[in-house]
Amino acid sequence: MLKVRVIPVLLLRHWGLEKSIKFTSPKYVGCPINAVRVFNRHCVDELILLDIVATEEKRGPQFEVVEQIADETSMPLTVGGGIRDVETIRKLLVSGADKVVINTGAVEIPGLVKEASNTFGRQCIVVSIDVREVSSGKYEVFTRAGKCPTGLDPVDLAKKVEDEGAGEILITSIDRDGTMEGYDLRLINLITKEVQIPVIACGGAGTIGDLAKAFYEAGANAVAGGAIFLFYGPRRTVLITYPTEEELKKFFKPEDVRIRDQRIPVETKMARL
Amino acid sequence: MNIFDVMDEFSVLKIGIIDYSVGNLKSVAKVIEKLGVKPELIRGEFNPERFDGLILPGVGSCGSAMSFLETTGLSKLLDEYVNVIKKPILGICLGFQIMCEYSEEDNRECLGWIKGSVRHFRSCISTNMKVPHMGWNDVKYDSDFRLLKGLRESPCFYFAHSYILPFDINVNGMVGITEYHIPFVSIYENENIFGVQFHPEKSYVGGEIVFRNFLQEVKNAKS
Repeated sequence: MLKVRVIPVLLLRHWGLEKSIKFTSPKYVGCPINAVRVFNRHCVDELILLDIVATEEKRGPQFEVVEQIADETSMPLTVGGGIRDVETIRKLLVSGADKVVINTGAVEIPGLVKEASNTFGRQCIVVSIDVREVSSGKYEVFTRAGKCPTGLDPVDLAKKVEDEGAGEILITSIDRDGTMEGYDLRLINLITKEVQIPVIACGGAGTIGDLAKAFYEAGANAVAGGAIFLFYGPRRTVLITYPTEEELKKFFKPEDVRIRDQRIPVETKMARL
Repeated sequence: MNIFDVMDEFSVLKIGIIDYSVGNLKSVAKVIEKLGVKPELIRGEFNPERFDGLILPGVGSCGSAMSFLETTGLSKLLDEYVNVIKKPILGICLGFQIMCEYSEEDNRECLGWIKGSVRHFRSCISTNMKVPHMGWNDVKYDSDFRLLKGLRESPCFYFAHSYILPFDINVNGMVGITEYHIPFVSIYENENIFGVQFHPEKSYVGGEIVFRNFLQEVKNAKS
């Protein structure tokens, strides 16, 4: 049975990690290489690394950072930020990324998702959609790190990129980002029920209970978060954490939780002897 | 056993990784290196006698991989390596799929070492489902797989794919099964041919054990 994927999302500004609230007031949270090492020790299900200033600075990804991270880890690694052509994707894959995230490029560059999907396979292409609730119950897609309104409806865009060849959708509620008040379940559900590709929920997770709600109530296939894995306590002290199997099993069905250590346990080995 | 024993154990082996020049081979090469062997990337004609073990990694699409193998003359050499010299080979994800007779992806004849055709999830079952099959899932098996020695029952590995070899009891070899709406072959062993649908290079210690077991088989075959 396919397990729930619990995915830390790390936001990269140059050589530092940041965490925002509603895509503004970023706080420096540390060195990406160290953070990724810790997540690697926790054997995270997958990791998403997003360069949040690449598009704004009109440049591509920082391949050296990706390379350093990939060299030190063995986790499934998804990388985004500043992707505007297929050659950039190829370089990211060679640097060690397993999948790439396209956000602004999916809206601004016609044919990019399709060409990327045809070249590297659908399983390699994640399209990220950042959404604001612009008036009561009405959602709009924003690009360029949440700065640029597009007039697009998130469900329409999700369906369009699915047709073009996206393998997954990363749906982020800008209004919930960093608040730790829970996911926008209605938004996530709108997307999950309309597309036939996996959906990763993001924006607002504060507790393991929130993760479970996105999975069981909103139909998300994977649950992502930032603050929940980076901050501890009401004063938001930086402390990198990741839920254990036991913690997850308090909110998820046991069969939905991945067993992390695949080795035969020592006791059983003894018993077999 | 400490890390130095491991390094010593496999350092004499000559391992080749086929490079279709479409992406990330780094993670596979890295695990093999960690186990004490410096793998060689194979991009064109090679001498099959020279290698003790080969790995067909899982990047790109079936069409691009097969075209590459055919235009470079690699498919003939691989055939000689597998069917005449009969040395061990491990296919990963797409690398496993192209070991089959045919793939629906790009409508390609494949290498034909494993009986059966690779199909898209949706052409096997009509239910409402999310494809690609993406993430961690467990492998069920009831025979003694050489690749799975030392792993607990139904180990969990990382998957990322839209095409499968559907489970068929008439397959020519030993198979283990993973379920995602329907059962499909996630691990395959037949003499010197090994295949896995999942990505052991992305599956932490469980995946590392799979590679170590493969290297052990390569070593056994050599002596």
